[in-house]
Amino acid sequence: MRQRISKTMRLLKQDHWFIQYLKKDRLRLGLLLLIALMTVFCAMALMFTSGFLISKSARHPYNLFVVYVPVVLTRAFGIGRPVFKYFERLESHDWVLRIVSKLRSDLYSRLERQGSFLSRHFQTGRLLGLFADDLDHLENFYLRTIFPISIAYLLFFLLAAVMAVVDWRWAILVVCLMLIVLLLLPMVALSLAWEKDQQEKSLTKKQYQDSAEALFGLTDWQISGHRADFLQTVGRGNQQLSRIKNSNDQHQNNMKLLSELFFALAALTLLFWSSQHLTNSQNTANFAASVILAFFPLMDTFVPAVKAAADLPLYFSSLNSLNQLSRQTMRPAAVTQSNKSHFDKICFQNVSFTYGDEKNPLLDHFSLTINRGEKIAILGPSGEGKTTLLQLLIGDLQADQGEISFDEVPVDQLQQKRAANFAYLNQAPFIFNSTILNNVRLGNEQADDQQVIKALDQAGLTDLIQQLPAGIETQVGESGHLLSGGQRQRIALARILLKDAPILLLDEPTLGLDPITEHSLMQTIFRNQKDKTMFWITHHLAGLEKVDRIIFLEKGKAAMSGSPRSLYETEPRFKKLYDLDLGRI
Amino acid sequence: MIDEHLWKLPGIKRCLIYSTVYALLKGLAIVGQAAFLTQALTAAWRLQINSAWYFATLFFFIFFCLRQFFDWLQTRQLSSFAAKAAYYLKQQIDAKILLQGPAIVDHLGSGNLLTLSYERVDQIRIYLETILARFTDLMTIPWLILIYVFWQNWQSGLILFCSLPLIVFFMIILGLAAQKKADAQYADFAALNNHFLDAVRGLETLKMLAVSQKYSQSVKTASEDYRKKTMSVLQVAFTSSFALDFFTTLSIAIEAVMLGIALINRQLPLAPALAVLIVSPDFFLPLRQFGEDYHANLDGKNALHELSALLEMQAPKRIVMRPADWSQESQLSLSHLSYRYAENADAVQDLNLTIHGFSKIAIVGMSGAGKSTLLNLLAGFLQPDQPNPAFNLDGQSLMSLNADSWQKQLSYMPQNPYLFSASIEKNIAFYDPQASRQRILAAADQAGLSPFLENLPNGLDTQVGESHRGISGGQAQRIVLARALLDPKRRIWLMDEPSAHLDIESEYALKQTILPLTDHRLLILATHRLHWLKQMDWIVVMKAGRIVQQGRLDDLINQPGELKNMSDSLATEGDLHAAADI
Repeated sequence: MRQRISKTMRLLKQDHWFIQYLKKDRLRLGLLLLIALMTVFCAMALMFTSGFLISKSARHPYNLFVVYVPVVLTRAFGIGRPVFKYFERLESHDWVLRIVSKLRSDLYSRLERQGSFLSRHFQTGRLLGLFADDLDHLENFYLRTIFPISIAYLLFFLLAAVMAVVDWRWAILVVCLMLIVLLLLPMVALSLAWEKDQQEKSLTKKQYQDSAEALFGLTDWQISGHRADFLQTVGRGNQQLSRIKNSNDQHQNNMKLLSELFFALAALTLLFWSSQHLTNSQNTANFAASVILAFFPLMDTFVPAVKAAADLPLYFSSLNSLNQLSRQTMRPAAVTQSNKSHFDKICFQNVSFTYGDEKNPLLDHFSLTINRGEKIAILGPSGEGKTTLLQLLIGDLQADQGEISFDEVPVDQLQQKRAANFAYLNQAPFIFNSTILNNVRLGNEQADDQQVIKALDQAGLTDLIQQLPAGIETQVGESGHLLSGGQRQRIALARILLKDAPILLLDEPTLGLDPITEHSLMQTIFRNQKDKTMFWITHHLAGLEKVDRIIFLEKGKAAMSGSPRSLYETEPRFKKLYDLDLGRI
Repeated sequence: MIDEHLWKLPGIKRCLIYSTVYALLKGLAIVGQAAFLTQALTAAWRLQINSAWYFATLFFFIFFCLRQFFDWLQTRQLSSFAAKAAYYLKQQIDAKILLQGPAIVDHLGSGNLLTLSYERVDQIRIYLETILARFTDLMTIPWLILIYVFWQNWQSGLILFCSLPLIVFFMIILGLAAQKKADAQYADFAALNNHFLDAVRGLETLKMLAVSQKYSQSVKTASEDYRKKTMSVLQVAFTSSFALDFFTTLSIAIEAVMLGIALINRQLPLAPALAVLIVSPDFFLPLRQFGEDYHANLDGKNALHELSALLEMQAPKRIVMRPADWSQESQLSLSHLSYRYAENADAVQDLNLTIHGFSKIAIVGMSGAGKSTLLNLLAGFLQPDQPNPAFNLDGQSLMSLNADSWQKQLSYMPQNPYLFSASIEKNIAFYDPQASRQRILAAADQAGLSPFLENLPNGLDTQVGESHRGISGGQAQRIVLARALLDPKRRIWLMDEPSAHLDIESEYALKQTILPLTDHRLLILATHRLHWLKQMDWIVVMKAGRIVQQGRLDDLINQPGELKNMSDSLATEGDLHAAADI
């Protein structure tokens, strides 16, 4: 427990996402709490005045005028309570949503600042999506925990002060009972919740993985003939998970019952107190019912404290992951940036690169010089650093050794001009849930429809567009799932072609296409991108005739390098592969 | 008021009965609590603190506790029901997904299905927990209280009774308007929320395109838009609960004043007036809670509808067939086989093909020609929707091949095979979990995995799959191959472009491994790589969903047709070769 508290304190101290907003908007928050207090006050006052009204009326005063004030007050508080409640809810939601909206753009720009970090840590976009959930949790953190608990405590202190003035001995008793409801039971609920939360999380994660496996390996399960086994194993986990969730709820339910019982004890104390102190005269006895009736609305404010506390672990883990993110995305030290955007030569000098703590370097003292306008094809077995080469070239990864320079300017000085210099089609381009037109236009937002259509044509998509009733305005669905893999790939290609940067980087642009489509696509690219410098990663050799140079990467070095013709004539291995690819073996 | 889909949950009726009983007991406790509190307060008002006062106070306390206790019981019962229902639904989803087969993943997307089986099921759980309690409370407690109030003072009872239709009327008017607006905007703001998710998931691509900074403006706008839309939905919800709140509180205030006047005019003693006042808030409470939770649970309600739609999807028919092990003499013929996907025209039409014994068949064609669809039909993953049986297996006419006894003879190798998060050994033993280590090693060796395994420190025990050691595409294909080899009954191998993601050398090596293994097996291979064709016995050429040519390679390659076109257009690009030949 102590460990957890110190961990939580540390978390709050380093926090970027939560406390600063509480501090910044102090005035508005104060107003919000005031409105919330007014809501509870009106609820209590309504019962108080109406209790008094009835007690007083039952004394049969000689005319209505005697109870005129309580009558008016009863109506006023009756109207006041819903009105304040309405504004309280409106205000608190508005405030929280404003903050979450701010946080959302903040989260985006934090993620945006560090691209290489992203690709290393979050290979699947799914993981990134989780941050959106964390933000939602933060929203509830304010609405369901911070506000209710603050109001409950505020009210508690006010009441304690009032009671202490009226009768301090009695006040101590009630304060003790209320502290059980507001402090002790929430603490117990919290420590139970920590425990269960861990269990639930690890089990959910496992179940989630199992389900993902079932989905991705569905064909295998389908033909395996033991589907029932699968359902049984997953079923056991599901049952465990549902039990844990249920027992979580049950704990909260128990705690709620306990706090209600302690609240009842407090009400009982109040009843005794009023029977002792308010029954001296008829005048004071008129207030006996009022005091008791006014006490009950407090239950709606005090009892939720238990639930608010039990939800804390969830919020803290969300806060924790958001804070970890901000620590990791601190801005790297700035390097003086160069404005150059015209190059004659790109140089790799003795570049070495090793991924993480792996043994074998992906690039091992690799050197290469490329002239402007040259078209380079990069071949080689998978996992041998082809993609790494491109990532080093654009500065997403930093070489362990050696230097990559553009006319003597090192690559890290060109990061600001990255957009103007490179058009990069990576291996898993993301297709946004929008129209084909919008997806392609992302490449160049100034492009008009005609230019977009031209780019789509170059990517070989004209036939598809003509078939679609909505043409380029067709919606492509989530991650483009309404299109086939090959079509998605070509839309991403069109986007890159529209970008019109001097250096074109293509990482397997024709993945999933048949050789004939692939061939005609590459021919179109060569025809239309004549003056561009191009790096083309591929594992097919057919269609390579048009490039100026082929680099065959293997074991961190260029195992073969040269023009297609010379390689074909001098390297038997290349000739064999080439013939193989054309189906001549 | 209560969703029709709820009735399909097992145990719902029993649960509703229990919940109603608890609600009734709760209502009785509320009445008892009010009655004894009234007694205690009236005694105090009369300045009589005697044994009757102590008695009343004690019973007030007991009834107050009983009320909370019954509430506890009700919550307890409902939350365990909701947890069970969630478990039941989760099981239903899992079973449904396995039953529908790969087609459902293509149709709905894996991300969507995962969300459905976790986040959405959890939303339903919370929805069930609250809505059933609210519903049963609303159906019982107000009426019990109303009877009590009538008994105490019929005029007050009348006021409460008359306020009820008025409140319900306002609730319906406002609620309907609110519901309409909320329902309409629900879709809208789900889309906006997805916009943000989209931006975050596609961030890397945005960065590559160098529009990520500009896009942050768009994220900001969308985020603000989202906030405004959410706020406007909430505003409607708040307004409608404000209206409800306003009328109920006002009713209590009016009642207090009316009672006061009646008391002054000596038409009423204090006790019934106080009792009515004490019990009135509880009369309106269930109604208010129901109104408030309706909006809060919109998510859960929509989730239930979404899930029901999935579960009600028509299941593919499983076919019962006479067990017939594929042998050298077996024969499968397809006649006039057609298949059409629901949403697009991409399909196969009028396929006629006969497959004999242990032969090697290649299906070639450009992307989108229908090769994968044909393979999926042969594997039974897709079922043709035709009146006449399109398949004939050794004299048995069959509507589809979605049958256990057929699928148990299959091995299916996709472009990107999926490895389960387990050891390599477990992955190989997937079809036959009881296989001995020796047999697994032998299968791995046959599949050409030995050199690879020898280089791994943990050999067969190396963990693979997501979040474990990455494995190259070629090795993954070999693991799938070993899986098929381990089960000698799997003599029909379907391969869907197994080498599309491999570099040419790995592709060649894989081909060298596969071919000798197919001697006593039927191999059906979809490919657009022509170098596979020389070793095949029969070539089926597809174009735009139809079989345009079939026969032996030697016959096809020399006659004009699609295959010759394909091979020619590849050959012309081989100008390196041509130049070298000259």
